[in-house]
Amino acid sequence: MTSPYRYLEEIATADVAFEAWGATPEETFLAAADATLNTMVEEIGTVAPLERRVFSLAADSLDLLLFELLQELVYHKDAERLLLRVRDLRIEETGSGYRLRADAVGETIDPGRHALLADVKAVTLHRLVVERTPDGWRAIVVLDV
Amino acid sequence: MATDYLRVFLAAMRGKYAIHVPDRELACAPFRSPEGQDYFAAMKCAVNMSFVNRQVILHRIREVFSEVFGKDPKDLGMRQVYDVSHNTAKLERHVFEGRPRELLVHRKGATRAFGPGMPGLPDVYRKTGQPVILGGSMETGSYLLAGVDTGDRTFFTTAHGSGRAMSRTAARKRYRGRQLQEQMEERGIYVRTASWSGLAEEAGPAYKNVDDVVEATERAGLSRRVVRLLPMGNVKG
Repeated sequence: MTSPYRYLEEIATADVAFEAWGATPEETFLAAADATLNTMVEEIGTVAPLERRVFSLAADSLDLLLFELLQELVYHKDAERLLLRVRDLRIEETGSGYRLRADAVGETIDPGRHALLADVKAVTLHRLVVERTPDGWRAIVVLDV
Repeated sequence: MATDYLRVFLAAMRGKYAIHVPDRELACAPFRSPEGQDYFAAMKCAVNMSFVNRQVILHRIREVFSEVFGKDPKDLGMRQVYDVSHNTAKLERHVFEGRPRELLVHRKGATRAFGPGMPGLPDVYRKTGQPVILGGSMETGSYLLAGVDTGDRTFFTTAHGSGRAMSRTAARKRYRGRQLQEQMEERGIYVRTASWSGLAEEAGPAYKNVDDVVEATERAGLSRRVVRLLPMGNVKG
C-alpha cells in the first residue's frame, strides 16, 4: 500500500515540500504527520511505539491547525529527541476556529536503528494549504530542513 | 523561536498593524513595536545559544582528538579561529541614498562581509576585511574569502553557501549513498553518514558548483577569494 503523500520536487529545492491527502481532514492530517516523519527517517515503521504523547491544539483555520500539529512533532523531536507517529486524531469546529486532539506514539532517536535523513527545523507557512478536492482533502506543506 | 513569533506576528499583522504580505511566511511586525522588539530580543538569545552550541561542539571535537591521539587537549593546538552566525538581523550604520543611516540588516542564507577598515571589525581583520566561509558540497570542499570595499552595494553582504541545485528527493532517486562513499574514499575524502539515503541527498551535483558561486560573488564585488579548502573528512546526519 502506498503512503497517502508524495514529495514535491518542483516547489522548494532547498527545503522539503510534500502533498498529503485523504478522504477527511483527519486522514489528511495523519498523512501529513507521516510525511513529516518520513522526511527525517527513511522507514517510519522503524519508529517503535514505546512512548505516548497527547496533543490538544487550536487554531483559527484548518491550515494553521495542521501547522500547529506538525510543529508539535518538530518540537518533541528537538526538546525530547522523540520521533512520533500520530495514530489517532480528531478535529472539531469551535466558534472561533478549530480544535484538534491527537494521540501520538514513538521513541527517542536511535541512530543504530533509525536511518536518519534530513533534520526538520521548522514547518513553514510558505504555500501552506489545506483544501477540499473532488475525492476528499489535500494539504501542501513546505518544511524547513 | 521564529515559529513562536510567526504566530505572534500573524495575529498582530492582521489586527493591529494592517500589514499585508504575499506569503504568510513573510509574517512581520514593525521593528519598533512591542512585538518587534520582543522578537529582536528573542532572536539575539537564539544567536547567543548558537554560539554556545558551537563552543560545545568544538569542546567535544577536542575531546575526541585528545582520546585518539593520546594528547592533552591543550597540547593539540586546536583552537577556534573564527565563528559567525548566518541567519541574523543586525542594527548597522550604512550609507543609504546618500546619507548615513541606522539600518536593520536581515541576512538569511547570507553572511556579513565588512570591507577592510570598517568600524565593527576586530583589529585582527582590519587590513584584510571580514573573513567569509562559503561552503560547497561534501565532495568539493569550501572557500575562504574576505570582505571588500565594493560590498557597500549589498550592505556588505555576500553568499554563505553554494545552495542546492536539486531537491533532496531528486538526489535520493539519482544517487546511491554507498557508491558515493566508495568513490569519495578513492579520492581521499572520508565520509561517515547516519544513512545511505541521507548521504545520497548530499551528493556533490545536488549543489551548485562552488567555484562558479564564488567567482560570481567576486565579480559582483561582494567578496574576494583567499583560499580554497579541500575536503578530507565529512560527517553527515
